[in-house]
Amino acid sequence: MSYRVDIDETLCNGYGNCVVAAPEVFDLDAESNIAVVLPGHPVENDGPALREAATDCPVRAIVLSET
Amino acid sequence: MNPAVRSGSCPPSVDFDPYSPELTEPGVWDAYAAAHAAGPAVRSERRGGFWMLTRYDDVRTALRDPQTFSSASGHRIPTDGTQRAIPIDFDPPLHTAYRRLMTGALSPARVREMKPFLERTVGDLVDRFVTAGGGDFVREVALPLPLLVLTELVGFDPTTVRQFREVTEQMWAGLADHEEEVDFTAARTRIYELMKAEIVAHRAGGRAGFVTELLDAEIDGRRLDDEEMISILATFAVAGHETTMNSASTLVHLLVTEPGQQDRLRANPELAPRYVEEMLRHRSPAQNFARRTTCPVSVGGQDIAEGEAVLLSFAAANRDPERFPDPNRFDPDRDARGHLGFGWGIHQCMGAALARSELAILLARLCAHPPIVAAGEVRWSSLQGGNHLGPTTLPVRFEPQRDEKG
Repeated sequence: MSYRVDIDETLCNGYGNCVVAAPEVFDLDAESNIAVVLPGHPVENDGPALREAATDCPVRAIVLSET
Repeated sequence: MNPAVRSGSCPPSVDFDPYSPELTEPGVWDAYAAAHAAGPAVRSERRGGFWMLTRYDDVRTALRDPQTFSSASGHRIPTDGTQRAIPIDFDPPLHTAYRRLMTGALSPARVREMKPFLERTVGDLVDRFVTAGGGDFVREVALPLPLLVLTELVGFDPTTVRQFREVTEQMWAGLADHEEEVDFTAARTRIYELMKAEIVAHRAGGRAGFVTELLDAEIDGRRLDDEEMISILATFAVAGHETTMNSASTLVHLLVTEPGQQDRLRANPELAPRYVEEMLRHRSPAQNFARRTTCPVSVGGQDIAEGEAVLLSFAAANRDPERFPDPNRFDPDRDARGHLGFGWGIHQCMGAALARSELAILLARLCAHPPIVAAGEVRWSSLQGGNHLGPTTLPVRFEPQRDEKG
């Protein structure tokens, strides 16, 4: 299973819950404080962490699709 | 109050009254530790009775599950359904709609836009405080800062904002007033009247800002009624200043009591955000939030029935040694990520980005001046509304000599 991650930048409020759930996938941009997906991700094994990150986002800014 | 655990019975119980005037620094941490040691879900029979969760994983699991742990009966003990604060006393889907109305005023873009205002406002307050040789940090800096921000952010009239502290303190006193009852409706009367007056003033025209936008705002294709607008504005008024005030004062208290940490920050002001995060974990300015179970649930092997009040202790969870080793130590170098200082999940603090920015700017600005030292005894509040903890008086002065001796 591979995944596609979209971050709704109009919703993201820089909480960083996604970075706690999936530190290997997400970071907060130092300048804008908005979540970004790290280069090389998402990969196949990211599934569980991605789902946790999407669930934990207080503003539902992470849209996860399985491709 | 004696936080001692009663033993022998099942389930374990504690004598924890969130509104007790005796729950303050430093004993409040012993009360949390006692509850934590007693079991994953402990019972208090105060204020109508409730369960208390103190373990990090349990508290966060509950926060992730708003269907089981409902907010619709209120976020304070007792969860009697008379609390109607928007959005915190609501569940989805109404919660989602309310919250969306409010987050526009607090978006990252808006916080970025406000940065020059924050820099200027913090600069003015701190410079004036330093020129005066110091004083009570709570009254001179920590309180006026969020009030000025609310004027800018929400469009409250400055004369309205100046009354926030008094009406908020009156609300806290009202909640703690009675022995075992809590009258939420009576306690919020004055703050609701003040918000009503703001709405009337904005309706008359000639004003701008969030309050005016709210007059035309819609949810589910209808306008908000006055009760809803009043409740939304009251959230900004109370949550928008109590928390920031306590956070700012607590940070300065930590710098004063741990000069080594202060020296390090002064040498490395870029560490300010780490100090802010660790303060939020270590001191949890907002400490306890209630939920009500919508179905039977088991927490750490303890069965909790449907319809029970559950107090989620963010403060205790933030000092759970399983999650944060050596939890009572203030250590800006630790990985504080995932702390529950702003809560977690759909009710997580809407003002988090603003607060983080405001507090980091404040610390950096303070570092540009001589070292801060205590100039009298710090006094702490009890848990206001069963929740908020911070210094009520924090006399400090600046000590250029310490720098020179360096």
